[in-house]
Amino acid sequence: MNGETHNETRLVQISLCLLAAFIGGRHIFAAEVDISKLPPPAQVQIDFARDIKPILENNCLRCHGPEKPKSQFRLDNRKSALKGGDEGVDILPGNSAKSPLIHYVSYLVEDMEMPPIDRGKQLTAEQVSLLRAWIDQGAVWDSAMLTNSLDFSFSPVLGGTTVSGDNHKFRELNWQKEGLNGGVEQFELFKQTSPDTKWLLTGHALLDDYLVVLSLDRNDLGFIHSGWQQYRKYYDDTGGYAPSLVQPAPSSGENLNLDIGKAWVDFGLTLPDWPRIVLGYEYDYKQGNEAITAWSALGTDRNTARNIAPASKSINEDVHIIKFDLDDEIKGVSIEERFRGEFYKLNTGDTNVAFGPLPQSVSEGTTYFQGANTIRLEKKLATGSSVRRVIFTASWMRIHLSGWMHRRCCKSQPFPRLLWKKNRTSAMSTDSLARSTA
Amino acid sequence: MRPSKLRRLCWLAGLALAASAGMVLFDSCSTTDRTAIVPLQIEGATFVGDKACADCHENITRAFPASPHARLHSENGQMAGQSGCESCHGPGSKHIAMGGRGGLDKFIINPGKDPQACFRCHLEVQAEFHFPQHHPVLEGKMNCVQCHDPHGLDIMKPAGGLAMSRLNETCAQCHREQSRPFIYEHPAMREGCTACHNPHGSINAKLLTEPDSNLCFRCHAQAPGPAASGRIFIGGRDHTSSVAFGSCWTAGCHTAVHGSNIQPILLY
Repeated sequence: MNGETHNETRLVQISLCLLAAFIGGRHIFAAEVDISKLPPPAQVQIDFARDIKPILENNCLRCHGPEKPKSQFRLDNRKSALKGGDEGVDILPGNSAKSPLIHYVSYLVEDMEMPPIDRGKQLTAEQVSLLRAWIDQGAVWDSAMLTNSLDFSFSPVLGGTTVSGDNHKFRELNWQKEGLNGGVEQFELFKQTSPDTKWLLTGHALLDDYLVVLSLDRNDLGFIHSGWQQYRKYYDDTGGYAPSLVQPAPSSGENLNLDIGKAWVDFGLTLPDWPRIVLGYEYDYKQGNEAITAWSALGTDRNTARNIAPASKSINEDVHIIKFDLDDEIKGVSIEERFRGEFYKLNTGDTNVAFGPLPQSVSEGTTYFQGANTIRLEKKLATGSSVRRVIFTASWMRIHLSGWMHRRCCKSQPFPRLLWKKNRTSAMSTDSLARSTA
Repeated sequence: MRPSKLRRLCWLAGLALAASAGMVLFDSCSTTDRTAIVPLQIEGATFVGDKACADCHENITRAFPASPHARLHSENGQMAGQSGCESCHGPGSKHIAMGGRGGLDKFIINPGKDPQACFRCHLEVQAEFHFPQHHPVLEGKMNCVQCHDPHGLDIMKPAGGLAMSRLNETCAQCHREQSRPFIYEHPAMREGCTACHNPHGSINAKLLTEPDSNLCFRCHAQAPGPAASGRIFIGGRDHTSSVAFGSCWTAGCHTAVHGSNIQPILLY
C-alpha cells in the first residue's frame, strides 16, 4: 500500500513536471540559467541612441527587423520588443537578470545563442552590461531614432542645348529636345507613420519625361504599389539625308515623336501565415508618329517614281494587363503561381510604303487576348553537404487574336477590306528537374 | 652655371621624364591582360557574404546558383565568400544593420536603377549604348533589368541564361507590334530579334546590324541567273530590275518585314 502510494505520488510529480515543461518549457530552461555568469549591469545612465541603438543595429536587426523577423521577434520598436515572439516574452523591464534576451546574448542557453554562432560575433561583456542596464532602467526607447519618420529629397535641374544643324536628328539621337530643358531630376518623399507603415513617393519630372511612383507598405498586412511613366521618343523626319549634302533635303515636315508610357497599380496581401497574394493592373501605351525605314515614293508615276523619300507611320497602341501572383510554402514545398492576361489593341497607318500604284495608304489593326498561367512547386532536399532541389512546373497559354487591314490606292480605288482571325492554344507542358548546389 | 651645362642638365631631365612616362604607359599596357574590376563600394560598409543576404532574400538566393552570374568569382575582391550578391550590390553590412527599416537610403546598390554596377563588367555594352541609335539606358529612361534577369529565376521570364534564350519574349514586352502573331510570318523572327537588330546600340536606324539589303542577303542570297544572262535572282525570282529601286524593304516591296497578314512574301 505504501509502495503504491509512493508510486502514485511519484507519478503525479512526474506528470506535473511534464505538464509544467509543456506549458512553460522555455521558462523552466530559463530557470536553469546560471545568472551568476552574467556580466553586471553597467553603472551608467543609459542613453538609448548612444548606448543601445548601435548594438541592436549591428547585431540584432539583421534578423529581427520589420522584414520577415525570425521567430516573429522584432527589435525595431519598443512595443514589438516587449511583446516578444514565438519564444515568448524576451525583455522584462526592470529585471535584466531574468530577461531571456540577456541569457541569449550571453550565450548561456544552448542552441539559443544570439547572434547565432555562425551568423555573427558574440557580444562583448561591456555590451551585455549596457543591455542589462538598459533593461533594468526600464528599456526606454527613443522611437525617433529607429524610425525615420520623414525623409525628403528634391533635385531641380535647369539646362539648355543649342543645336547647329539638324534639330530633328539631334532629338532622335539624344532622346531630348533642343532648347531650354529642365524640371525635377529626382524627388523622393518617404514617411513612416508607424513602425509598420511606410509611404514612399518618388520619381522625376523633366521635359517630355515623367515618372511618378507611389507606394504604401504595411508589415504583416499588405501593400499598394502604383505609378505612371511616360517618355518621348523623337524621330528625324529627313530619312537619314544629310541636309548639308543634299539640297534641298527631303523632309516630311513633321514633328515626329512617339509617347511611350505605362501606368500600374499592384495590391498585395502579406498577412502572416497566409499566402502572399498580389493583384495587379497595368496599362501600356504608345501614341504618336514614328519615322520608318520603308521609304515613300517621290513622284506618282509607277515607272519613274522612286522610294527615296522619308516616311512615317502613325501608331496607336493600347495594352491592358491584369496579373495575379500567389506565393506560399506548405510542408517545405514552395509554391509560385503566376497569371497574366493581356488585352491588346493596335492601329497603325502608313502612306506610300506599299508595293503598288501611288499614292496609297495602308492602315492595319490588331486586337488580341493572351492569357498565360504557370505554377511552380519546389522542394529542397538536403543530402549531406549538398542541397538538391526538385522543381515541378506546369503552364498553359491561350491566345485569341483578330486583325484587319485596309489598303487604299489612288484615293478612288479602295482595296477590299481584309479580315482574319486566328486562335491558338498551346499544349499543357510539364517538366521536372533536379539540380544540385555545392 | 654655364649655359652648356644647364642645357645638358635640361636634356637629361627631359630624357628621364620621357623614360618615366614611357615606363608608366607601356607597363600599364603590357601587364594588364584583362579588365580590372574594382569592387563596388558603399561608404562605411563592409562585405558580409552571401549567407547574410539569404536570411531575408531567400526567394532570390535559392535559385541564384543556377544563374551564370553565380559563377562570378573574384580572387582579390576581399569579399566574404569572394563572390555573389555583393559583387553587384556592393558591401552589405550597413544595409543589414538597417534590418529592412524604411528610409530613402537602403545602403545597397540597386543595378536595376543604376546601370553603372552592370557596366563595371559589361564594358562593351556600355560602349554600345554610346552608338548614335541606342535604347535610352544612359538617359535613365530604361534599365538593364527590364530586359535581363540577373538572378535567373523569374518564372515569367524562364531562366535560360540572362535572357539569351528568350530574346523575342524580352523584346515583346515593349515591341508588341513587331512580335505579334502574323498570318505569314518572317522566319527570321524565329532566329530572334537579334538576327537583324543590335539591341544595345547601332550606327544604323532602327538598331539594324546592316543598313541595307546586305541584311537580307545573309539569308536570302543573291544568285546569278541562267547561263551568262547577267540577271540577279533572289529567292528563285528575277530581281534584276527590283534591286535598282533600293533596299529590299525601303523600296516599297517587302515592306512588312516582321510579318504580313495578306502577303506570303511580305509585300504588305
